[in-house]
Amino acid sequence: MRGVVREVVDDTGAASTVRLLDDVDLEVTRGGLLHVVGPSGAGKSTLVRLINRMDEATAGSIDVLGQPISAWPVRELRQRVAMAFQESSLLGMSVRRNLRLRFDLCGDTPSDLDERIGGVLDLVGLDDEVLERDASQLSVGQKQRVALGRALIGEPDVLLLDEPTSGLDPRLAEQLLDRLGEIRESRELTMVMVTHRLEEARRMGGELAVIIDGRIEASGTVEAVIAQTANARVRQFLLGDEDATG
Amino acid sequence: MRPVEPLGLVEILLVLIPIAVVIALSLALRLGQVRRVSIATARAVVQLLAVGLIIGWVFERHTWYWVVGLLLVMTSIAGFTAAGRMGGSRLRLSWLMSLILGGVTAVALIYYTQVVIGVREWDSRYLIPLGGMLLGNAMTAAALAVERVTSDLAREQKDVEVYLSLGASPWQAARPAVRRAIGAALTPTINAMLVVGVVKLPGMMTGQMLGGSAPLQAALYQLLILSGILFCDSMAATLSAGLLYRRLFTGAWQLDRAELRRLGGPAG
Repeated sequence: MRGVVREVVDDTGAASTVRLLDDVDLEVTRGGLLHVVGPSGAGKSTLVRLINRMDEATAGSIDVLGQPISAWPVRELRQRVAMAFQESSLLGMSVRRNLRLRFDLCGDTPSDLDERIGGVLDLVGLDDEVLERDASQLSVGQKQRVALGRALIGEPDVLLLDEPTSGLDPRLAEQLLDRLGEIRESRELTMVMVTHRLEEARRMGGELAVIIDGRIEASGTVEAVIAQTANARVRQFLLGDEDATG
Repeated sequence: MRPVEPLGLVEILLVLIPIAVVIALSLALRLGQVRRVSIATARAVVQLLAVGLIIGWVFERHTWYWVVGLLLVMTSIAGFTAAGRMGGSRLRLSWLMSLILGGVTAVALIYYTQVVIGVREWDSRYLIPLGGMLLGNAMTAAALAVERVTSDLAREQKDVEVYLSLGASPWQAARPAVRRAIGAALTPTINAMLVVGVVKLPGMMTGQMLGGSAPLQAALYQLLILSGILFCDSMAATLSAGLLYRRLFTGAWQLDRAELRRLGGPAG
């Protein structure tokens, strides 16, 4: 997956055009993991939303699986590049309906749906008994897991995660991250993960991009970026984060 | 039965006295309604006198083109008013709304006057009042439906985006909001049907009885108009919400945030 985004502007009207992303050039290899970190409001969420075309880049190009995203039919792109939003993205219906929704939307329910649902629950570490419960009644941790399961059930090639651990206590967050690591390895899944906690990137390994004010200020392997960066703004962000998270 | 007693200038001045009482009350109790009541009264006087004179003039012509002409003018005013309430003063939207409202009303008018009542000529006595009622109601229903679908999509942006991210088309993502909007647009008419004759006598029925019709006939005509209103409301609401939800999405199945912010208020 490769993307060069020259710019993304917030098109509220000519008078208040805001440049959200500028000159972003990133590449993730198949089965790779990219963490996107940065202060809030830096453009991290916008960046992942560009990959499955929930937002549109105003200039530049993004390729997914060797093809520019504009060449993909939108539905197919979004089903191959699945997305798990920040907390509480479950719809007000049963967990089972949440999980099978993507199949219902395109009208092709796989014959092995029940096995798939079982497999995905297993994968995210949930019990069968949650299936008939209304999604709104679940705990934050369970919701995050169902959202993850819903993103994984269609066996996507790419998984976009926007702060998957937000709202979780540290122990649950660690569990979820470990689970994500296992899923990635077992499925050769390409992952792009937005986080504001550097600790998470360190735990999972892979690549790291630091984005500040809509620009990539540093990128490379997690260790290299943390150890070597000479960029003052990045240092300041990384150190600030160290302080914040202990 | 005697025809209705004519009203003249003296009677109209007498009619204004109760309104003057309302204004006096507002002044005495400092209700702050003087300006609103005065403007509303002035507008009602001017608009009703004008419409009375114009329709009277058309009634005397007995020619189809004056009837159709007047209905077309009413349709475009309804179209522009509806478009204005939908937060778009753009010409295209006004034309679209005029087309929807005009089409729906035309179908209903032809059915009720030609098939049901069996008026076999361009009788302005039927066409203009029925057309006006149906048009006015359809306009309100269409505006309500579109306002509702817009505000719901703005408020439920997050859910809509979840649908889209799972591969839903804009129609699939907006369907719950469209369905609710159509229901909301029908609510006033359905509520009116539930209490009609029990809690209040509708204007048309009252008017017919004042005009000398037998109460049962007036009631049957009221039933006819309610059926027409329900039909026009639901067609106009369905067509306008079903077409206009799409303006909140881009061609690439994204929520159009700029449009949402413009139309959906602060929630967008």
